[in-house]
Formats: sequence, structure tokens, C-alpha cells
Amino acid sequence: MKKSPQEAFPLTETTLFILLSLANQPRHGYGIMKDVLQLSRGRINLTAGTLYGALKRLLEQAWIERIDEDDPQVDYPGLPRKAYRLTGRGRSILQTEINRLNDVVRVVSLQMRGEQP
Amino acid sequence: MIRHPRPGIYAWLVRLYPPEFRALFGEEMAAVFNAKLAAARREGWPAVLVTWLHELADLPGNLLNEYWLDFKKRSEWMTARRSSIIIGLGLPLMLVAALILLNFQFILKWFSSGLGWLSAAAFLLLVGLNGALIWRGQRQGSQPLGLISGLALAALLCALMGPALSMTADLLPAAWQTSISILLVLVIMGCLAGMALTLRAQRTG
Repeated sequence: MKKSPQEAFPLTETTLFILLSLANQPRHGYGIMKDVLQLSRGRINLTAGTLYGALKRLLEQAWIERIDEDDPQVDYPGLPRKAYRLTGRGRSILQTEINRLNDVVRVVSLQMRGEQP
Repeated sequence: MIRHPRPGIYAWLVRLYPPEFRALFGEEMAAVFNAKLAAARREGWPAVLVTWLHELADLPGNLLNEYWLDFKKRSEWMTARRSSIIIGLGLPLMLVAALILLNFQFILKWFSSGLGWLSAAAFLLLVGLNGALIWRGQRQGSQPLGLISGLALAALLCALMGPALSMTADLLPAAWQTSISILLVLVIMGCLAGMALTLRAQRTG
């Protein structure tokens, strides 16, 4: 079931990093797992269960889509040839969340410096 | 190079997930876990142990979450199905009640002679519609099959009895005529509702 845009925010950290991981290229599950670990500087080490639970939700929201990977540069031949790609809706959600986070950081910075936001 | 995933303990653990989730992601999950485990093996047995413990520690929460979401999804589907039944049967019942209240005598005289044939026709239309869809392979699995089967069975019984009873309507006491009329009107309405539900499910299925 799709959430309304208001219900979607703020994104969980896991969701944000998965979307970020798919921002530039489609990836398969293990690729996402490794990329999220790297992007979060080792803080978010997803298990297969958590990763696929999150992917299922993102597929249901139509923020990502599942594709058959036909790129010959497959890093891991043992993995199923399925990859995940950000949709237009997913990209828009990611951009909105980034803008929201930027805004939060700006307000917090101003407040900490004693200036009016 | 990462080896092809083999059925193992993790593949068995994946079987604990809800069927729909398992069918969609089971193979991928096992393959991803095997890839993670292969990477951990290169770092030594402590890494393998940590990988297993991490996955196992997350498993109960993930299982509960997936079963809860699965249950919620099914509940929503059941609610939608209940509303179909209410619309399909509730509205015809109300209509029949209104008709009876409006013109009791009219129902008795007019309907008792023709209702049996009308109910048979409605039944044939319902069965014909569903039969045609099955024949063309267009029938969707999400249709309220139980409801339509129930309606079809009720319609069949009445369609078999209806014509015979309507022909002898004048010989029956008034209360019997009324009961038969109401029953046959319900059958016709039920068949129409069944057709409407079939077509609706066909559109949304």
C-alpha cells in the first residue's frame, strides 16, 4: 500500500541509505548491503532479512523497481540476476528528504550560533 | 569468486518467512547471505561467527514484522471482501423489502407466475458469464469465488424448483406464494449481484 507523501517523512535511516545506494546505479541485494555499510561508515550493517524486508516495502511504495540484470559486468556470478533501481517517484522522495535534512541542519547550525533561523 | 548458493541452514531459516515473502525473495536472500558468509570466511572464523549471530539476532524481529504486515494485508483484503458481500446481498435484500412494502398484492399476482423462469434465466446468465471467463482464461484468482459459488448453488436449487412452483402458484396458500415470490426475487437479485461482483473483480483483478 502506498503512503501519502506526508506519511513518508522522515525516512528511516535504513530506507534513506538504501535509496542513496540506488541513486546512481541499479544494484543487486548484496551490492546494496555493501554500499549501505560504506555510506553509513560502518554503522548500518544490514542483515539479509532486514534488507529484503525494506526492499519489499520500497517495491510496494513503487519507490524502487526490480529488474532483470542483463549487464555482463556482474560482480557476483552466484547471485540471482535481479537488481533494484530507483523509480522517478523514489528519486523525488529521496530529493525531498535530502532537502528536509539540509533544512534541519541549516536551522540547527543557526540556532547553535545564536542566530535567528 | 562467490560460489552458487546451496541449500543450507539459512535456506531452511528462510522457510520460516510468510509464503508470499519467501516466494518473492527467498532465493535472493539465501544467495545474499551466502555471499556475505563467503566474504566473512576470507576474514576468518570470528567473522563467520559474527555474521551468523548478527543474522540470527535479527531473525525473530524480522519474522514478526513480516507476519504482522502479512496479517494486516490479509485483513484489509477481508474487509474489502466483506464490503462486496454487503453490497452484493444487502442491497438486493433492502430492495426486495421495499418492493414488498410498496405493493404486496402486485408481487403476489405478477411474480408468482413468472419468477421461476426469471430466476432460471438469471442463474444461466451468471453461470454463463463465469463459464465464458473461465473458457477465455480471463478469470482472476482474486474474485470472491466462495460467494459466487454460493449464489450459483442457491440459484440452481431455486431455478429447479421455481418453474414447477410458479405453475402451481394458484393452488398454494397465500403465505406460500409470498414466501416463494420473495425467495425467487432474492435469487434473481443474488444472481445479478454475482454478475456485478464478477465483472467488478474482473476489472480490478
